[in-house]
Amino acid sequence: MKQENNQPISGTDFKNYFQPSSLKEALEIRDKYRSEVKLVAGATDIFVQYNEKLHEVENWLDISRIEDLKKIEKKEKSIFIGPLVTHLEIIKSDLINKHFSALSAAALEVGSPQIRSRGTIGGNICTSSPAGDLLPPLLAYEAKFHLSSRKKSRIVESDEFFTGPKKNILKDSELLTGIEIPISDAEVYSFWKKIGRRKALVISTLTLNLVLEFENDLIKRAGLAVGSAAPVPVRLKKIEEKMLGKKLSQLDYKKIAEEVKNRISPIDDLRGTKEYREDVAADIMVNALEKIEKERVSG
Amino acid sequence: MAFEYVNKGVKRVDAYEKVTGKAKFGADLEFADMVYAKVLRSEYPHAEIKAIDVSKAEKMPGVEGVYTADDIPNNLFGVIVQDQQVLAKDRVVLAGDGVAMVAAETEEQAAEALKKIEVEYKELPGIFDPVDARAEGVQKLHENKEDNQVIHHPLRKGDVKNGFEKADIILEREYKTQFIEHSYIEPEAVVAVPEDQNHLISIYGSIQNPYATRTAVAVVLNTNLSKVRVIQNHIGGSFGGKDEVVSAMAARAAVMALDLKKPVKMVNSREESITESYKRHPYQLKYKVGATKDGKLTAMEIEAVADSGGYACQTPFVTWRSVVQATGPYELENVKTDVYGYYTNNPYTGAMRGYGSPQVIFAQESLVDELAKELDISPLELRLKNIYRQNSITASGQKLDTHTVSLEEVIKKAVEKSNYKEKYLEYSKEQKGDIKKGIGLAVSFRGCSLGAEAIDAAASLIQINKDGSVAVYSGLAENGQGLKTIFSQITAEVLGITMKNIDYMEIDTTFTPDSGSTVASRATLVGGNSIKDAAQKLRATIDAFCADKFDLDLDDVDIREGFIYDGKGNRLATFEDIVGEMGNQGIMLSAYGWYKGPAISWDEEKGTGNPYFTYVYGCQIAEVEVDTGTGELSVTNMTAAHDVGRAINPANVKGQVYGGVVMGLGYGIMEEVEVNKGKIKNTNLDEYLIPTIKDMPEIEPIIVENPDPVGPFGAKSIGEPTLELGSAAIANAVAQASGRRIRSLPLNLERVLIGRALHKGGK
Amino acid sequence: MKISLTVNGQLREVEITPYTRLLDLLREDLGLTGTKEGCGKGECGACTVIMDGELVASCLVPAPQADGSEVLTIEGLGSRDNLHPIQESFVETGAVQCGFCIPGMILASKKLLDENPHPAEEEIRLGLSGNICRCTGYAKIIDAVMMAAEKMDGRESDQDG
Repeated sequence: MKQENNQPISGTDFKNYFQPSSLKEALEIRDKYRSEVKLVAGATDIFVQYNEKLHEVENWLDISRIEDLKKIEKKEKSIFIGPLVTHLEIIKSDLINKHFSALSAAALEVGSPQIRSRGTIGGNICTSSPAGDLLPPLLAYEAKFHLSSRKKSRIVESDEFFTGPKKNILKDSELLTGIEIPISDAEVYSFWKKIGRRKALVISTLTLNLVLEFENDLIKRAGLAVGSAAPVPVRLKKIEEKMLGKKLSQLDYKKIAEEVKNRISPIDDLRGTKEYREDVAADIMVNALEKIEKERVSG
Repeated sequence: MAFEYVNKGVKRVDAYEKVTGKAKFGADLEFADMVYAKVLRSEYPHAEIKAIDVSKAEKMPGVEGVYTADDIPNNLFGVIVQDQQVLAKDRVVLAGDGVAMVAAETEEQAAEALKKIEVEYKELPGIFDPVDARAEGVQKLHENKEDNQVIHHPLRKGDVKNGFEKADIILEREYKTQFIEHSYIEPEAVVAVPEDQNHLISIYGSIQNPYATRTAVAVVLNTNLSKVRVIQNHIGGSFGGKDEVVSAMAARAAVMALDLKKPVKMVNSREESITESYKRHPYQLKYKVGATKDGKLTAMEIEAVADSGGYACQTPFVTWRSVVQATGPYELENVKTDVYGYYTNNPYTGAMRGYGSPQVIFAQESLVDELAKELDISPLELRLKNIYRQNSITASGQKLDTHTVSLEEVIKKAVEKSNYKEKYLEYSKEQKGDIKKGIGLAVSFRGCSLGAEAIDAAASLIQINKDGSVAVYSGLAENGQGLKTIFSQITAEVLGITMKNIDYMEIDTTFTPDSGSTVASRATLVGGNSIKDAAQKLRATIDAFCADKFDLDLDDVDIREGFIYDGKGNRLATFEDIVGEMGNQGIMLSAYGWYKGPAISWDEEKGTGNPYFTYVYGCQIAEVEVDTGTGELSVTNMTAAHDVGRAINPANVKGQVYGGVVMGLGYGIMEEVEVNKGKIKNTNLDEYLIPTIKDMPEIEPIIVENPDPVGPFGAKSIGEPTLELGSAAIANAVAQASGRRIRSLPLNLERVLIGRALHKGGK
Repeated sequence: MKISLTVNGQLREVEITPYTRLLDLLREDLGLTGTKEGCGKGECGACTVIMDGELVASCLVPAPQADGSEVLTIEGLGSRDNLHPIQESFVETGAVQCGFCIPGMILASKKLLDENPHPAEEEIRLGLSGNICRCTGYAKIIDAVMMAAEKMDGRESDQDG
């Protein structure tokens, strides 16, 4: 029998630990404490961020027991993913595999089995790291984020959500309550690539996600997003637009790659330099187009 | 020669407690009334300490004591040069120097109290490149020294000027290696227990070298060695790394424990560990080599500059191994080598598996491949024209005639197993697509044990109880490498008993004489000989007793698997009955074993002599795939052939090869402690990357056995040779695959892609 | 605050704070020191345990989230006289050197074999990719998991179900 901790419990070393089982309660607590409460879901980011400083946090809002936020559901023209869905559940979901294979592929390269079993898609989004591995696929698949506060709800486009390194538009009264990704009936191809300094358990040096939808050989929709290449994960809409309505054979891969290079603004950090990231983003872009071209021929 | 236990892959004697979680490591130890301590470390790489105010910290909840350098009886220690501060007194010389420490009821309370300590620093300009440290008139980092030079080892042979004149081709190249972190998975931990078991202080914990730590603690406390007891049992990896840093920790804990009269526990977090611990020396190497057009080397001139960081630590000895081995295993009549170490305000550098060899091997083995390319000779052929063979004379003038010089044999075996020749030709052709393959080899000779660094002797103690059970103590420490198992095997072999009857005891400095440190791949060779000595003494006593009792010739007494035989195969008695009887007759059944290595010599001025009494030889071959579009490098196969003399435990030898190869791969392609103006930027394993299971290549170990006249049952060394070759072999393979010669480590994404190190913050 | 959880089959009640990590709860409150701390950031796998059937880094699990859960640590797997086949295999293949990573490595192996009784080498590499070992170079650890798979094949199911 699981013991519920819906009531705040006070102790000597901390003020409050909230573990609500409903979204309503969670939103009320969020509304009351605002920036004074730390959100925790899978804890794989916050416990790292507060490594050795955990005791400094005074109020915790642990949303991990809200069952309503753990579902993956098929809607009429979209798939709705609860923010508490873990990376492991994404990998195992047939629905996600079928419709958003790049998202599954990205989830499989997040951290380690130990991280994937606990880390959540909502956590990846709300941490808003430019290196968050799920973020480029969410951008490329044109995901929408459902945000709620005690009083109202809103739906925002994923590419409007991220505002800076570890910054986003989520207000301190709000929670991310769902991720909705449209399903396409068209012929969809996707490419996902993560570059890291070793083969597992690594923060990305660069990620690139390309999704192309075809209708009669023509590109009907394009989704292109790059991670670890700017202060936020970026969707390159200008480049997407240039591909629309064209056949793959009409595209100049090198030229597109050059544009990718020009439209990202990576920095130097421990995981790579600006110069490297620019060159490699261009290289991977060519690979992405070539791979999709090959798949279409053989597929 | 047939053995019962030696030369067999018996199971590790300490595996059961490790797979069940019962093995107690340093952080797992608990003592009654124990308190916890934490250290405040300097953020500045070089600063004067103007004042330290601990009054606020003292008033914090749970605090038992706050300490600064003024509380340390003797603040300086060091194995070679006594320049390392237990806590910085007037000046910090590196970021990570401890300046104060707090003991409290809990770790959190200690951490909170640290924040209340106020230190007033005056920042001083720092020196962050050893080449800058050597400049004339530059500030001195240690006031009592003449300059910033820690050491200079010259070596002169023949006349290089003459040698270069004879050369048809001369190549000059510069190479560079990086700081790396040992990354033992267990961060350092010690507990100091005062007034424990008749001792002033006992130290438990993750201690690589119990005698070195005992000496350091005794020196710091200004007390006798006999007052300090160091006990080590399980240690979560060390690789050379848990020496001075743990000695400092032990000394700090001891000072607090004696003051508080309570056990004091200190456990480093990973951040503290990486910030405070010493690293592998970065080297800047200049090589000049001359050769005739048919590939005979005529001269080599080398200058290597090592970064010692804030303290001398092991720099004098690390660089000495470099000077001995800098030319590689190549016959050369004319050599001029200078290896220097300088103080800087970088993290200090010390012992790490390989100890001054991986750096020079990376340079010299890259150089030989570069020369081969210039001469249009295959790298294999060029090596075979120049390598050491039986009776070769080394750069220091030592004739290699007391052991089997097996370099050609190990090369041939590695070449055959890896199919090197065929693959080399195949990968030399033009390759289509982004993914290019390459194969590269590297070879080495390595002096076994300490050489002329220090007295090379070790002790052991074997006690046979009346019931036939046997306790083995050694003065060398299990570091995870399998020493307990190997020593138990040797004991069983010599005494003629089964492994089941042997209990290997933890190391306790009370019981065994100082055996020096468990370093330099010397445990099996030197420690194994001392175990053999003790066992042989006991065996002689038992043999004599049996000969007398059963009226046999001494030579006919045969003891095997716990039974006494008459030499014709007739079983006469059990081992237990005999030792029981001997015990009842008052015959002593305990023996100390002692072994001191053969004579060696070294002339510090000229760099000549016989620096090591024997050598091992190795060859590793790496196969790689390089993505020329992204710089991604995959090491797919490693073949590692090593002459170990004799493998006491072939399974363990393979374990050392697998582990060393993967550690060498990390050194070669991904590891680097990023130090910016003396400060380490990657202080945990999320940014300091070591190989995962997915990075492991297919590894083919080849054990070559040419029993050494000196080693126990012919055994020599394996721990370090396994890791010293990988980076060079991989660099050579990458050069073939990509056409790019990378002369600095690690061969990370950017170097592989762009062929040069990018500077952070621009081109 | 007080939580209760089942550790190695035993129901335990523990007094915690919200910043108590599952790792601290196991090591300090329950004395189960077989679970190790190597980095505190989920990057080494030394603190791996199995919680409610999933592999977790116990240094990243807030103790309150372990309330009501079922946790398996290395101590719950087998004893000296009754080793789990995975433990036996680690001993027999010589997969253990310093041993610090081994408890986590064995639990990751168990989770892997529970889900996939006959893993290919690539699957073993994936399953153990969150557990870092600095001594062994992993080769014998892969051998150990392969051997364990064979051993477990014959036995109906392991003692922990």
